[in-house]
Amino acid sequence: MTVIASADFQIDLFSPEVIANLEAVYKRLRDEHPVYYDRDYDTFFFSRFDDVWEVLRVGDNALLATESNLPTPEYLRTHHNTGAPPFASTNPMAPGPKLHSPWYEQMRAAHITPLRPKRVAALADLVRNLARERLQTLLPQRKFNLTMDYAGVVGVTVICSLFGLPAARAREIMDKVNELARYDPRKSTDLGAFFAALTGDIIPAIQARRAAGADGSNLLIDGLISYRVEPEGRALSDQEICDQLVCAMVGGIESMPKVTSQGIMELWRRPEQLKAVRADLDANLPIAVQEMIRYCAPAQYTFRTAHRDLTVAGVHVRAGQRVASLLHSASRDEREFEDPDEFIWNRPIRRVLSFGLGQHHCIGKHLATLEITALAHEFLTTVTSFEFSLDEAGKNRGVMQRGWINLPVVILD
Amino acid sequence: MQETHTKTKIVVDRTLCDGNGNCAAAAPELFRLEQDDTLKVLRDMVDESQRAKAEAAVRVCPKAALKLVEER
Repeated sequence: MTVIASADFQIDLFSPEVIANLEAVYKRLRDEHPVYYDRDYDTFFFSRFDDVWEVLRVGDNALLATESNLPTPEYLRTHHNTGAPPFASTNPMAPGPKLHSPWYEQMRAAHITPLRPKRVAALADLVRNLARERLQTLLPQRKFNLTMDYAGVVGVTVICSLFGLPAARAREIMDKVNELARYDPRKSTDLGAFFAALTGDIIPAIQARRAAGADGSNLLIDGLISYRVEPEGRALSDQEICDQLVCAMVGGIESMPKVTSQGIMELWRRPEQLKAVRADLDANLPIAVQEMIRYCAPAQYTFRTAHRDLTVAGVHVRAGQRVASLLHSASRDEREFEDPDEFIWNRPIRRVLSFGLGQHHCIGKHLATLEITALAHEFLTTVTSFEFSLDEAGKNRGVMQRGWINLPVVILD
Repeated sequence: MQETHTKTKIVVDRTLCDGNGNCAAAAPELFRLEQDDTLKVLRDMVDESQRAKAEAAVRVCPKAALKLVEER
């Protein structure tokens, strides 16, 4: 049963007042206005797990991120569609997230191979060794930022290796991505900003693969180089290829470290849970990581634009209107999870929405899960006793990608 | 009275399938993730006894790439 917001309830999900109090707002939406229509943005906001599940499973080019999956409030306010917007361009090929079927799927298939489960599992030793080496450097400092200095550096090093970029560039790329994702109430960031900022890093990687003959030894890039747009048989330009790869780069750099560091911190906050997980780390940590992902995933929402009239989660949406799936709210929905605001390492998790769902389901899910598990495993094995200096900690508060960007850990033993 | 046998066919949208393997975990007797991460459907027609398993697999597919089609 869904309810449309009545005229006496108005809220701007992008306003600083709401952002400062987001969890409470999400709860009020879930309880009282599970489908909230915002006239200024011409957008339906879905906050319950079941509804988001239904929205994101819609296929057949009915709901697409043609405008953007992460639009700015300014864009939403100033652009209202009368009818379905045109499909994204395929010549030149638009950035991956904006594309419709079958192009979206073809671009994805051309670079997903190294991110598939068994390929990713083969990276376990690499990630574990990187984590171990990183800890050897960091532990003598006795205090460091677990998000960036540890998980972040390992995550971006893995990404650089997938792109064939020198590890020496890792820190600079990581800082750039995090600066873009950082919330600043005076400016809005949409996905386009990431594309513009990372072009200069990704295009040299593509050119290096072309120069090396794109023989398939780099599975992330070579498939896009050898891809041909049919029926004309056109090859993709460097820029078009770059536009397909930005999401894999940003996701691997920005999101995973926040989940890893907060996940370890949530265990530390609950010593009895930390002890229980440590009792059999190999068996228990993969279970705890599922809860870390549910509880700590930074992505707050994803937008789609309707390309035809449709009824979804009990609401009629006209072509051109937008729907926003509030992913974090869904993960805290008491209709899906008992005591959802509590971190419970071994809670039953029947379904997850932290990686999104449907067409855009996170392409890096397996890599992220492996990295979180390996990073937490190495940390908890190597460090016997630690505490967090939460007075000095810093959170990215925004409404797009929230989470602990500075989480100082103090090594006690 | 004529007896009718309802068979259920598992249909995979190969353009959507990423090879996440959730279906293979939910219903290993019906799906397998091959060494190259492609999905193999072990039985594409399922009878009543396997229907619940097949439904579970459809439910957990994060790409919504699976569906069941009734055939008479």
